[in-house]
This record gives sequence, C-alpha cells and structure tokens, in this order.
Amino acid sequence: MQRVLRSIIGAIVAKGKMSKHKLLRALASIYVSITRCTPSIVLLFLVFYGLPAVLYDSFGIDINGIDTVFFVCITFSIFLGASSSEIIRGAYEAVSKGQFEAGLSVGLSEFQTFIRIILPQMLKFAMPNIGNMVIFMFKEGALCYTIGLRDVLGEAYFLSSKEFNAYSLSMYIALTFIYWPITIILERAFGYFEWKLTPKLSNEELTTKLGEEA
Amino acid sequence: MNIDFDFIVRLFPDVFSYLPITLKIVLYALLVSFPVGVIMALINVKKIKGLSQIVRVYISLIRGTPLILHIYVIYTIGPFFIEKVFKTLHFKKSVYDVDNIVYAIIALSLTTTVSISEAIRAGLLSVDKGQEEAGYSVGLSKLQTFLRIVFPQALVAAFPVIGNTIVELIKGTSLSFLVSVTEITGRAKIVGGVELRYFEAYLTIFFVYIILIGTVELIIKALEKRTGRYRYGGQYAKS
Repeated sequence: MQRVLRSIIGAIVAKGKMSKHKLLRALASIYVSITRCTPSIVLLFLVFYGLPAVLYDSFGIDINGIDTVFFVCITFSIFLGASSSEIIRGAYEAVSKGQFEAGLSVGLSEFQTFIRIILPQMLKFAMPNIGNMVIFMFKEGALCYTIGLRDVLGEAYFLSSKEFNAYSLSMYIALTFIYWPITIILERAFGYFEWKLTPKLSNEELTTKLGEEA
Repeated sequence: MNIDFDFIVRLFPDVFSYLPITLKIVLYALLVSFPVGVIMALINVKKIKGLSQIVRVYISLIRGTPLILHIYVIYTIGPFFIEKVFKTLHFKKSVYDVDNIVYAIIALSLTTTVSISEAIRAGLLSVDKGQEEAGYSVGLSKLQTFLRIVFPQALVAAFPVIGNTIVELIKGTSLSFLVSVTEITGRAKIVGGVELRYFEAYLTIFFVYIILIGTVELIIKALEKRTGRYRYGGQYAKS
C-alpha cells in the first residue's frame, strides 16, 4: 500500500509538469478522458497480462518473476496520474496570478516563488481532493487481490478458503471493520490538514482588517 | 509482441452482444437507488430524529468499504435473505433459480444510493429557502411545493454529480464477473481463458468500455447543458 502511495507522488509531479505545457495539453486531456472511461479492473488486467509480454518482446526484459505489487503500482499510477493532474491544475488556477508577480517583485527567483508562495497556497486548495483521492485509492486497492496479490482482502480470502469457506461471512464482517475505521481515520486526518492549512486570523488582525475596510 | 488482431476483430462483436446485460445492471441499479437516495437525502436534510443518524452511519459505512467487499457480502448473505422471503411469501421458487445478476444489482445499488443521496442533499441545500416560502405563499401544499418547486431545482443542481455517479456505476459493473455474471468483462475473461489470449481479450473490452462510457459522458454533457438552461431562473436562456 505504501509503495502504491509513493508512486502516486511521482505521478503527481510528472502530471503537474505536463498540464503546464500547452503543447502537451491535448495529449494530456486524451489520457485523462481515457482513464476516466476505463474501469480500474480492466486496466489492472491489461497491465498484468500485457506488460510482461510487451516488455519481453520489444526490449527483451524478462519480468515474469517480479512481485505482483509492481503491476498494481503501475496501474494505480496511471489512474491517479490522471486524477491528480486535474486536482493540481485546479489548484494552480485557483491561486491568483498576482501572488506569483508579487513574489518576483520582492526579488525571489521563479523557483523560490513557486516553492514558497504558490505551492503552500495550492496545497490548501488541493487538500480536500487529495484526501478523496487517497480514500478512493485505498478502497480500489482491494481490487488487486483479483490478480493474486495477498493484501488484506487476499489474505482474508486465503484464510477463509483454508476453512472451506465456512466462516466467509464473519471474514467479510472483520474486513468491514478493518476498512471502515481506516477510512474514517484518513478522512479525519485530511480534514485536520485542511484546517491547519487554512490561514486563520487572530482577533486583533480581524478587527484591524475590518477597520481598514470601513 | 504478436497481437492477434483477428482475434480482437472476432471478439469485438461477441463481447458487444453482452452490452445489454451491463446496461441492464446499470438500469436496475439506478431504478432501485434513485428513489431510495432521494428519501435518504430528505431524511438527512429534514433531520428526522433517529432515522437521520441511521442514514449517516449507513453512508459512512458504505463509503468506508470497497465495492468488491459489498459484492462479496451480498453474494454471501443475499441467498439466506431471499430464501426467507420466499418461504414467508410461500413462493414455489427456490433460491437457486435466482439469477446472479440480482446480487450484482443489489451490491451496486448500495454504493449508488449513497452517492445519489449525497448529490441530492447538496442540491436540496443549494435551493434558496425563499423558493419554498414562495410556494407556500401562492397556496401550494407542502408536497406540491416540494415536487414542483424545490425538487426540480435541486435535481438541476445535482445533475453533474449524478452524471459522475452513473459513470462510476458503469465502471463498477465490470466487477460483477466476481459473482459469475457474464457481462462484458466476464465474457472477455471466459473467451480469453479458452483461447489463452488474455491480453487481447482485455484490450478488446478496454475499447468497448471507452466507447460505452464515452457515449454516456457525451449524453450526460448534452443533458447537463439542456437542464442548465433553467439554472438561473431562465433569465439567461433568451440571450
């Protein structure tokens, strides 16, 4: 799971760059709409069965012995690359252009302006969507048991078939109580981050601000 | 990589003929979940004591667990319930006559109900309170005000989210092969298994899904434009 999460970050960076270049925008939008139109399980199977063959025939790389997690990572990177690019684009557009110019005007370089001024503000706008995405991912992660990865669901299935599926219902209930609390914790955690990132004015600041406006 | 294009061309119409089953699941799931979702949204908005807590726990539970788990749970406990219902109603059918598609529909409508109720709840909250009061002031009853004034506006506001839900639902139907329903994905898995050409089989349904969902998205976009005309009370419709 953590490996999957790590690969998301790579995808975020790549896609963030992509949506800023105007030339690649058409390609990016085709990519986004295609991933939106495909069920994740189909893409998962496609990567799982297709990638080893493609790599072997065109580059001569044999990845037959590789861990299944690898395929899961690739599939979800493809998926989340698309959704995170949309999130980042939205957040980038939400930060006003004046902020960037203000950064440049006080003598920061372009890179510094981006890191110190734009990125923190972008994070604030992107946080709720990133939270949703991670939760969605966490739940979709259960699918990877269908290609034979032993994650929570896979392990549970394995255990229950050892008992000839006699306790499958209790197994499912146990799984519910694994997934449900973790999702709630994730939701709360992202809510907390969002609250932390929202700039808060103290009472004095608020009164002076109101006084200026009046 | 030697992709067998003949196989893809051969498989395409074969898989396409299973499209009605996918659409059937989508249609029935929507028919079940739409009214239930509306009722749940109403319970949540009106804050009916007791019921609204139950609805909130239900929403949190369904949103907190993966779809694949819902499908398995329904597949496990569904037959018991259906058998009991059949016994109490003295039906002559047994559980084994029930098509597996029923379990897929039930499981998918659980998730869809939640998303629809959340969409409609947001839509209902976005309708101005003055609209309701205006309805009462011209002498409409509570039900009439809701059906004729508030609900249509809420539906327009909720439409984009409902469209997304439908797309998600279609994507979700691909999981129903897990309960051995032969729809698009299930068929591709069978044929791919018989001819040992998994990659081509999945490539085919990849295209089928792109065509299917792309069409659905276009329809939704068009409908959104159509319903959006009433969004500003028709004042921009003429210009």
